[in-house]
Amino acid sequence: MTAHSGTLAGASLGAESIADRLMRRRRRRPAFVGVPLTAMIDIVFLLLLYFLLSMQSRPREAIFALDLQIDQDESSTEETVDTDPFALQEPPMVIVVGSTGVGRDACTLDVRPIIASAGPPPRSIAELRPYLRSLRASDDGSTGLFRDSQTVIIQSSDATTRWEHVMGVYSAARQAGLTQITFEEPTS
Amino acid sequence: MSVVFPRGPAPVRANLTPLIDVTFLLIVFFALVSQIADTERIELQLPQPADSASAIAPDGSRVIVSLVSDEVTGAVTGYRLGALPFAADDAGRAALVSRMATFYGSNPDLAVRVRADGTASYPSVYEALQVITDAAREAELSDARVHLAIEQPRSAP
Repeated sequence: MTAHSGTLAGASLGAESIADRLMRRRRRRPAFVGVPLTAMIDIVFLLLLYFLLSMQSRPREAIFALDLQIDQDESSTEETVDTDPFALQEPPMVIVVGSTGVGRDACTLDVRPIIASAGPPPRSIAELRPYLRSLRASDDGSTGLFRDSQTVIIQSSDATTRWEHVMGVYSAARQAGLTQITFEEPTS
Repeated sequence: MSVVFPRGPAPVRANLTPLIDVTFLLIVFFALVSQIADTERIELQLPQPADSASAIAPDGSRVIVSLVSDEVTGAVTGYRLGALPFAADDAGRAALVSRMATFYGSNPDLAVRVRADGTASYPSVYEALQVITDAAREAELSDARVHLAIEQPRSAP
């Protein structure tokens, strides 16, 4: 009996010592030191969003690609080109543009040659594109006057002509499907 | 029979360090790229044709020539080749031709993007095109690729 009670006492003592040991181990373990990252991630994402939006808010650029033909020797004017001497030379279309003020439509146009069958000549850039389209020859050549290879020369009426109006004419000609567009040297 | 874990279940934590690394790298990238774009592309009011047949500017090798012009007269007051300024006089144009010829010498397929204000006068822009022609001639090229910059119309896709 004594031995039995002694065994029980020993067992309870053993259980207490295990619990104490566990508590001591828990107390000894250092507290978890965590860096609060949530605020930093918030700020980082805000910065990322700011840079993304600020880059996209800038107006995007587009381009008109053109090839400038370089004449290496300006003095040499004689060229030996095999062309048909009896071929009819297509007269170029000349568009003289002048600026009358600020704004896309504040300009004057003078389109030559005057083609009576095409209706009244265009007075603004908005009218120029349908006018050029109406003159463009169809694929089978049955209708229209100008092929896509028709040369168009853009001239300025004077030195005050604005670049935006010249580009408006150039854009209208490109929209009409014309590809041979030349900028004439401005007269001083 | 159940097993009791004295410490409780292990906490599930997301490893945020790589995420933060990548995010910071993205921020640095955008900050640097925007600064480079600012120095290369000065603020200009480019022409805005109504129905443009233009194309999106390609990402190939190109150099940007910007024309700084007077808003009232439209006359060019200076050129910028990338971030390099050049005067709008004979000496400045000659220096610009020389520098561009060097670029053409190293890369004949170089495209030159010409940026000019819509209010700039046509003769001044034509003069810039003439500078490009002279540079290509000095580099003994048969043609020069030129991109005329406009502001992309909003109606375009």
